[in-house]
Amino acid sequence: MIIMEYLTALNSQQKKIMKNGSGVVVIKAGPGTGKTKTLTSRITYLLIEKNIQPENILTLTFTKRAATEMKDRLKKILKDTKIGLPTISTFHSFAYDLLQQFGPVLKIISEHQQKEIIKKITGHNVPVRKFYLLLTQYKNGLKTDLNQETRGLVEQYNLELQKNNLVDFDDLIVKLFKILNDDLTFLEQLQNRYHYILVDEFQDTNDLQYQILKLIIGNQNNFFIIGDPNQSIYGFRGANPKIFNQIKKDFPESKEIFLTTNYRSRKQIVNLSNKIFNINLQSSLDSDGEAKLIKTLNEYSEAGWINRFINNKIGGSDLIAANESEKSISFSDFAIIFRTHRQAKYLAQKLDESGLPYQMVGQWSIYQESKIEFICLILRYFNDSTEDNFQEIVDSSFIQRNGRLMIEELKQKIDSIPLQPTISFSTLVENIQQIFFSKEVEKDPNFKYFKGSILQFTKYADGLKKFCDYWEKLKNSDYFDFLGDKITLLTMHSAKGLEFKYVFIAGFEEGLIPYKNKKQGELDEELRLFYVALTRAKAGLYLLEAETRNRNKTTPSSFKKIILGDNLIEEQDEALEKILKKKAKIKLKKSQMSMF
Amino acid sequence: MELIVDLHTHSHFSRATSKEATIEGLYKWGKIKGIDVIGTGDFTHPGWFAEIRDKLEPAEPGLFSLKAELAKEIDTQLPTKISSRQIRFILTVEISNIYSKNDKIRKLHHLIIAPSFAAVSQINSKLDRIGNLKSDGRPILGLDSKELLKIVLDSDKDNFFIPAHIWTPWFSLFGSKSGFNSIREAFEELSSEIKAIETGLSSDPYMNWRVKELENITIISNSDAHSPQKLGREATLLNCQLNYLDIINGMKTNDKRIVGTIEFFPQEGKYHYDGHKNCSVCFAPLETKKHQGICPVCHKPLTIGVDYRVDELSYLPPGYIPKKHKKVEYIIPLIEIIAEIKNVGTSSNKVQSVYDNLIATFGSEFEILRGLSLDKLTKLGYQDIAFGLEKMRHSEVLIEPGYDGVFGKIKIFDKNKRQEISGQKSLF
Repeated sequence: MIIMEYLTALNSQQKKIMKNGSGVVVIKAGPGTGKTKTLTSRITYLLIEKNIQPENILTLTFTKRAATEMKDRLKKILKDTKIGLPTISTFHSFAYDLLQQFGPVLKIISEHQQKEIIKKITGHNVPVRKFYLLLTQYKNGLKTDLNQETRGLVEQYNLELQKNNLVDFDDLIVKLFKILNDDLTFLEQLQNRYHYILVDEFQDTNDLQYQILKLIIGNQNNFFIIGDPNQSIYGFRGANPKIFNQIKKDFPESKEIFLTTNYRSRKQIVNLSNKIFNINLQSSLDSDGEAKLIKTLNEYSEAGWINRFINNKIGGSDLIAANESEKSISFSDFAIIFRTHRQAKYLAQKLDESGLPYQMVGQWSIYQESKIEFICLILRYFNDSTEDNFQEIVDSSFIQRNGRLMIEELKQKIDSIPLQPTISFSTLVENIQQIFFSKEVEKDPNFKYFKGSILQFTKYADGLKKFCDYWEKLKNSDYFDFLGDKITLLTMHSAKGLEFKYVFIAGFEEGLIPYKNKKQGELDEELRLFYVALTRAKAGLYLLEAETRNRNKTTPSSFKKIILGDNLIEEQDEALEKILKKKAKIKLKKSQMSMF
Repeated sequence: MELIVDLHTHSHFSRATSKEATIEGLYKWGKIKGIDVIGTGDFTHPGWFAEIRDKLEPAEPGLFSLKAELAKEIDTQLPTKISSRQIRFILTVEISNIYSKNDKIRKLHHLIIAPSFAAVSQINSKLDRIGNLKSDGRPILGLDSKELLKIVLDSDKDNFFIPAHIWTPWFSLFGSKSGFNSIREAFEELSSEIKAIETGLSSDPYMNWRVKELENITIISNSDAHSPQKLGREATLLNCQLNYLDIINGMKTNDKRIVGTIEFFPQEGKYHYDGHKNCSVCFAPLETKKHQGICPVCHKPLTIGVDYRVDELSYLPPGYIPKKHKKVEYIIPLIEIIAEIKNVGTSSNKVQSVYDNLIATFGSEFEILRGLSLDKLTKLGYQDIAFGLEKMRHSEVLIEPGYDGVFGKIKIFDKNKRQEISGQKSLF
């Protein structure tokens, strides 16, 4: 039986946690230690062994991706039982659902709408991102010292939202907090309902969210927390690893348990990353793996080294480079991680030169293009014809931008789309396209790309569902295409939660890692960010340190001294000699020429 | 009509190709070589596709011709013997698939042929999300070959898919390094869609006939030219109408429209025998077996050549000839025959001028190699060329097989017998 298999396939630490997870339990779980698995088996244990009703369990996560993954796992485990799923949701959607019980239907502002409003009130004088950050920090009580002008802008922004009956994500949390404080009956209802509260990725909790949690727990004290203070990288949103200390103060009876077996990374990589916070995780894997620091010349030779490494591993992509490859390896086994997107240019350029397929995560995706987003929304509505899903079509930037269609008219148009179950998924998309767009759209390269990318969902019936799942996942993961077999280029921030066989960390130099001009508190966060990047690697980890970058001499990263030692092999870029020779030759030629 | 067809070529947008690999270059050399239908190559490359669309115009269904004004300019520079030949283009591309399957890395090259610009656009837009089309005329995709086949078949019913040079060790369907042991292993339920294979320079039909799985599959040959001078190193002979469907349907059915192939001596290929280039070790399969596949110099596994690999996958003995089979013609490029006679390199002026004279006097290279009467040649003073052609046509040549990336050598003249020939008075 799946359930039993699931409950027995745990290590002794995990088993202990599964069974003894009552009371206030804080689990500090390092990277690759099976966080989701432990959490899922705890829930399974509560449901199956303890006969706790699903409605008495609340599980909160921080990303939709995590919530979806956990639901999927539980669905599989509970497949043969009659037990339903407990509440598993993100903080924001939990707040949204609760707030629905109070007053008018809330509409969450879309990213697009938010941008438009910010642009409108700031008159394009402030970068949207900067204002947004300020806004969220202010709303979460992180920033109180706003000057009068900024305060005015924030008020205008709030007014604009109110006018349109909209809320943003931060409002959800703020409003919920207010209601829980004001409406004691409601609070008691919640306290009586949720006997077990489990929180994933606890390091991402900000103060306001924590206060909410404390209120709902009340005197129940079945509070199961899992997370890794060392992977707290959302300081700018108010998350702080010190929250782990706070909980000790607030719940003196709490137990602290560590998960220390890393199932992801090989020995050298685990040992190396242990040094960052002086901890002691153990790799469960037999092989050593490798961690190297490569000293190279500049950003070009850095890209060259990575490119050669990949080519060597896959055994060459052309005859000139053909050689023995590793047994089983794909392009998706490689990730190039950097601190800022600006570093990506040369890395991508080099891959372009050698023709290797790659994807850049966190960049603009075609799925954000308004027409394509519109089609996706309609597809989702076909898959799941809820009112909410229809409303999102109405709110989409395509409809908003192109003069508001009357809702009736839109509905009519959607209803007129032929929907026989015999047609293929791509025909369905073509049908939508014909009703809403002119023939011209065919020429749009983004549109072509989109149509190419949906070909994998051939059959209409399950194609539609599969596509919707795929799209949902894409949206929830910065549009990282997990189906594409490509080399991944991404920032340290977007790397969180992912893993790759080989990881290259580009620009291991002061000013990038850690990022320039960071104050002490921020420097700690930079170190955690670095830790997150290191711990993505399964078999090979390669840090690249260039002598110069953008023609400026670099200084070694101040983090370097932490990781130097037995676990890190230091190497010169083997092409360095050749490059230097070539450079010297050119220089000589130039000087000879100038003599005449 | 008899057609000589060369589907597998590359443009200057592919890596390691000649700058002359332009549409005009292909057209010009197609005439010199005597090829009737030439693959454009590289149609997935946005730059090349734009160039193709700009310079070609539809001719017979599914085939294209160079626009008249461009053609005229080239024709005036060519000898009259060949300038009026008709050249047709057909839309093709080679794709490099690199992926893992059944716990092994796989690297396969495939040839795709399409009937129209519209069909090409379809394929291109689908592949664009999977790989990096703009950086190489022969794009690398992290895509299972079977998935590629599916995309090709779904895009247009008349598209055609051919596993390329199926025996090269590093990049092919049956390659010893990163290929498969059978078509079924690679293409599973779509295996029946594989209706033709390309021999590549390092195999000939004799070798392919030994493999049971290829029994009913059409064997075709192409040059895989990276510069237009190399066009027609190998080619396929058809007897069919001049249009896309008749050519492709011939290849799909292996019916009487397929006459046979024009072949390189496979021993000349870079991976015929086994060995190590850096250790100067070259072994026939039997010797390799004796050494258990290990190099006696560096003690690492030898690069296994095509001959060994064929033996491994075949169920019929070497030399097996099916009762009914297509014609096989071996050729040596004319330029190499001249160079050997002159005892200088192929790029020397002497050799070039003889080549030019021969083409101007007798017509295209294929006409000279395949059909030209030796008497005619001798009468005009080319008796050593006539001698060389006779040897070639009867496959009476000296062979030094290639191995581990080293080209093999095919010689017409025995060193000792050389005297005999050069003793005779030569007019050129």
